[in-house]
Amino acid sequence: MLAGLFLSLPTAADHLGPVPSPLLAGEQAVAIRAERVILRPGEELENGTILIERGRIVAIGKDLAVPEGARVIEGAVACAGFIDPWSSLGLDPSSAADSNSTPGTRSIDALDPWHRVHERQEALRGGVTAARIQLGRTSPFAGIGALVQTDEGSKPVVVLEDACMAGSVGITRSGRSPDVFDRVSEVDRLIGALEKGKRYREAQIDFRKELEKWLKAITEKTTELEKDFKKAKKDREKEEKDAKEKAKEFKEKKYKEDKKPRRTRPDPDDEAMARAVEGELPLVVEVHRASEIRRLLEKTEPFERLRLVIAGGTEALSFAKELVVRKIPVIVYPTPLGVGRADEYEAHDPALAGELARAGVRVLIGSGGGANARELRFLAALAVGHGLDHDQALAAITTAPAQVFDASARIGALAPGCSGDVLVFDGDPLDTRSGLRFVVAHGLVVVQ
Amino acid sequence: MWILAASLLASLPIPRLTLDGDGDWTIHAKVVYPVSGKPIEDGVVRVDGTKIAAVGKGGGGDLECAAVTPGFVDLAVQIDTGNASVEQTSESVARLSVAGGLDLFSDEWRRVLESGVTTALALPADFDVIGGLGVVLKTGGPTLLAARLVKGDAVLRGAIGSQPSSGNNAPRFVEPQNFYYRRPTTRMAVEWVFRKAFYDTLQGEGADDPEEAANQAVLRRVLAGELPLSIQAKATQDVRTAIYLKEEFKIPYVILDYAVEAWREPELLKRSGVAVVLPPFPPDGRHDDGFVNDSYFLPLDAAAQLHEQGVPFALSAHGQRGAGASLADQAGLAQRGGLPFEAALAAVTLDPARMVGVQARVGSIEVGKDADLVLWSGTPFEPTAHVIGVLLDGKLVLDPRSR
Amino acid sequence: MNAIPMRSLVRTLLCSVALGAFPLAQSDQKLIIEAGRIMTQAGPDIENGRILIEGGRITAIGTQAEVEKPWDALVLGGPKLVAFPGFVEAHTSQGMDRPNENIDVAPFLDIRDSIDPVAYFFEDCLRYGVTTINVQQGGNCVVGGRGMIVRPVGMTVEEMTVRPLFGMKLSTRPKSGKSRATQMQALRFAFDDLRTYLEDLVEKEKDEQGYAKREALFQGRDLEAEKAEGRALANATWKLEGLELIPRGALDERYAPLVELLEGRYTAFIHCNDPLDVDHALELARKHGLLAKTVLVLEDDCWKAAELIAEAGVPAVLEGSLTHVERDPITGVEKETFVPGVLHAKGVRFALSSEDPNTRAPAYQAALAVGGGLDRQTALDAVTKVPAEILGLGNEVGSLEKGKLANVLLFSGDPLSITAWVEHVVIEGKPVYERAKDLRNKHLLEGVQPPNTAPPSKADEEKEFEQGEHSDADKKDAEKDDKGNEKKDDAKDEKKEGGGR
Repeated sequence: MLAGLFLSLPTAADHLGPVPSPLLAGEQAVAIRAERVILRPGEELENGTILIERGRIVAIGKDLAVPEGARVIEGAVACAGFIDPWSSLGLDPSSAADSNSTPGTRSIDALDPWHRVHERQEALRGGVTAARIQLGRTSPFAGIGALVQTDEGSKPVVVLEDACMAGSVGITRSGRSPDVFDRVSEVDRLIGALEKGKRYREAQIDFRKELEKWLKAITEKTTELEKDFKKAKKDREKEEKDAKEKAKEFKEKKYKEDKKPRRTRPDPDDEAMARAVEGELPLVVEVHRASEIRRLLEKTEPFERLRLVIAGGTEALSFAKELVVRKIPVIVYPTPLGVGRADEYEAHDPALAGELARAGVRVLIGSGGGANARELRFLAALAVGHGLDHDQALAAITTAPAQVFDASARIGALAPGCSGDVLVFDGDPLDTRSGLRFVVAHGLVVVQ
Repeated sequence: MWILAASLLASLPIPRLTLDGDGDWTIHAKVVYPVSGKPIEDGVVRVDGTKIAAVGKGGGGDLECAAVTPGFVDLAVQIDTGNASVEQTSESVARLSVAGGLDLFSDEWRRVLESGVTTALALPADFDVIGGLGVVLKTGGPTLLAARLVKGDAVLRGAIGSQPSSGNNAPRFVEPQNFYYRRPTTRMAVEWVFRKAFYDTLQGEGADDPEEAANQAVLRRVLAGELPLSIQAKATQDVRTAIYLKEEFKIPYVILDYAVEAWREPELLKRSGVAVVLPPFPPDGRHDDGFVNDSYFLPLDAAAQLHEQGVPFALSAHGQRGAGASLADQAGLAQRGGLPFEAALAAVTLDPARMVGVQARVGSIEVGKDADLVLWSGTPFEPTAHVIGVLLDGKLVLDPRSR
Repeated sequence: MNAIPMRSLVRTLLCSVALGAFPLAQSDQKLIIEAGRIMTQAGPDIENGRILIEGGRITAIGTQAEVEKPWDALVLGGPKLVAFPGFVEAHTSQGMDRPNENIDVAPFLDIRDSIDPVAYFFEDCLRYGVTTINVQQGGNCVVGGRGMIVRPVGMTVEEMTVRPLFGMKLSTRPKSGKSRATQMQALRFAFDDLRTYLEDLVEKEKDEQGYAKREALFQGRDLEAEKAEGRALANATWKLEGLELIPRGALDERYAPLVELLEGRYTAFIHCNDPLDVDHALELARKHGLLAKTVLVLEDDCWKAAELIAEAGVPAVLEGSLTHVERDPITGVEKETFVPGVLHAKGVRFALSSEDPNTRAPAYQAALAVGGGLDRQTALDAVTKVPAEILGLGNEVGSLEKGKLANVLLFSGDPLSITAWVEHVVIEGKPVYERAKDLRNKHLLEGVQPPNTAPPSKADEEKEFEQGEHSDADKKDAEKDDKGNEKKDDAKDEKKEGGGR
């Protein structure tokens, strides 16, 4: 299949965060040999070797030469580190629960590497090497989320400081218990913010155009005035003299010109929403009930470039066709019923993932926005048990999150140039009986 | 030496596990404070097994420090299982001991031990008028009460004031008295419970009820002078009440616990011969009564005043934590208020030991006594010095060499 | 163009005159202080020393042989006393009435409107020997206002002022109601909003100038070039063109103090509760070119970021307890960390403060620091030299040296001993506190009989005791027991019933 790939670093990764420093990534090279190397779900290499140097995968192939001094790890199955697309791992808890956030609030400001180290350690032990972290779980406008690689140390390893915008509609936990009219109007409020962002951006573009025009006009006018100055001066002196002789009041000529266009006042919230409208950042909205989903889909249709992502989506199955056509992915949280406070509208149906996937919707699996990322593998396995195709389940926690959040050049798959995030199992990754033997996170062997 | 130790052990009525010490230690200090005698400069203390083998001048040692004092004795540690450490179905449960309500696994013990307190009196909480028996135990060692016990049934605990009645509501006509609705609900009713208990004991009334008989047996021991009675009495009024009760029933040994305002009644204290346990010195002098809107005043020189008047007293830390809260800090604050150093040292060692009758084993550095020693980095009780080592029953539980 | 607001003009004038121009009212009286030991904090201690003070400053200091006693000098002190420089409090939010403002960004506030000269805090400062105090806004803010340096004497704020408009408070610790993310958002917005305001102001000015030019051209007039009345923004990281076109007096009062902050006029005191707050604070300071004038106020477990603080070369003020206790969330085991020890080991310059109500006195704080393992000199520096430098008063206070302000304490013993009291306090050559005359201290030490009460007389006692008597049966017992005693008791006519033993 893929024998002897050569080193090739992609250039599309320019918008991603800086590569962790070599010291963080581990001085020692790591070579991983596995009977099954899952490059991405559906693409496998038999008896392959993955070579990682300075935090990045430099080569994958059969019979690769292993450099001297490299740490060699052998196992049955190797695959890319998992990405949790719906998490608040590593966030300061007050921010994770903040319900007063605005679109301009940034999750990266709340990334706290100093405390709750055990949470990140557990996540690594569960194979989660990266996560989309989002503050404001219960906030209608949850601000800007970030994509971060899981790390135990005191310096965060950021893939994308701005990974997405987020919001929520109609959720009933944590005090908010809106009735059906309120819930629907929450959709309208979200749409209102999007429209405001759109208008903001349009106003900015208009302003630039107007300003250009005005500057051009003014420059022309100034040149003209300078040309005519001598004459105007002479005329004025003559008029002054005349007025003095005739004892009349001297009136200056009135000068008129077009007003300069005023710039739009910078507003970080509108700016953030504008980025979502332009499609620069995907917009993740947690929504569960059919009435709200319907209204949301309806109202977001006019925004052509908007990249909508639905989180939760308990009753999203009825809209599967539209989701497929508009390429809207759904992040599900298939936790067994009874875990936590089960709201009837957040039923966490484990079969939902399979049903959506069969209808053609792109499915991602996440841990519901909490800090407990370590069970991601088991959630995916549970979805498989309830009808989700195995490869799609694996994709739901690796390649799909990477693609949806624009980081596939860096994480989510095993390819040269990607971050050295590799998991080594003694069996299939989604088999609950297989143990996770080694976790390599940006080139460092963190679990053995 | 060993015969003396053995005979001391034999005289104790409670069975104890015998402990092995760490081996033999020799501690050399710039000053040794034996408490039972004058400080010894350039002194040496030798430990053999669990007992002190020698105290004297000169020589080198395995362990070096600036000063050595005996392990401290705190008559109020408050490390217990909260309100589960006192039986509240009745306001008078003299027969019950706090032993079952102690949490020996709490890490509070370690903190108290590292502050230099090696012996502590554990009392039932003050929710009852007569709460039961307290025990004297070491603050370290195996997590077994049998291994740590110095004296079981050491004092009988009583409480006067607003605390014991605070959980009670006035009985309602519609239902019989129960845990929530019963007397006493006032200070005078609390005093009445005391009176009734002792009166019934003297009269032999109610002795057909086995529980009551057991209670009275304990009260008889108190009246006979075999068991001290420790009464918590914060306010001046409570101090007076406690002393009047003592004199009324001629109770030989009474300790006033947490006696914030005992300093206001020097004549009564002297006349009655009670001993006083002072609470920690608060920064503004005020101790709040947790239940009524009242606070009581403890001046900084309270200890010095009691000392001058010849009233026996001890200092206590009451399980407080934070800067300036340990027993050693209280000794420092007492000195700030004018108490001489020797008296402050005695007030945290031999005097409290005497009050609960364990002075044969702890409270001073003397040959044959338990090897409970505190090693200091400077002058004891000064905030610029701290505890660098602790020996308990001859075992080095805090190692000065690693600090 | 806005009319130049008078108040900000006056204030600007005041500020420029402010440095060192607020001495305590002086008389011509010379003062001599004698002590068995003078701890100068600027070299070895002087045994049997003498300090000559004239015009509020130390004019001579040495042994009694070296310093002559003028015949007209007041003499204070004695051989048992120890002289020590007045303590310096680098940062406090006490002594004010309600130190926190509700508005997030309020740089225009001035603490002189909030200081309460009769607050107990200032009284206590005298008792503990704190003679120079930096009072700042509370930490429950995003951008607080300006503080000031005061002395703890005076019935009015003016009398107390040492340096007005000193320091500005910021906080990366979340204000109540905010989370860390929204706090950083608000902080970021404060500076972005300032930038927007300034850019708009400059643009408006430029537009007006352009219009005036064109109008003149059109009308055939000659136009004199307008002189730039303002100054360019003097900040290393802020690039802002054209601020020199704006006269400084025209800046809105809500924004002008922030501009002054960027130009290094104020020391920025940034409040941190968490190592993440420290991260953010240093990032903020670097981003806006404030690092050279930043001081961190640390609480809780900020010591974990000690390396970052040392790297940034920023001094710190320690609030919160000297020993930080935390519980491991998994094992439940408690861990204690001696904070000054960690900071000192990592090379952070720090000052102690008196925020902890249990250990208010700086002398006690320093003693506890020594008890925790810090060396004596570093502990003493943390309450004298380091805070003096943080306040920019390193040449005025913090040690007893010729030429410095005469802020002197006389202790009854070694300042770090628990038994030593502050007996006298001299501020700028004026004796302002004497413990022998301090009534509150006397009450605290000796206790006081509550008003309208008296200790019961012997007669009252007996009456009370009689009322409390129990049944006749016991009485008989009592009499029986004490038959022998009773006779003895009758001999002492005061005692009645069989007393206790």
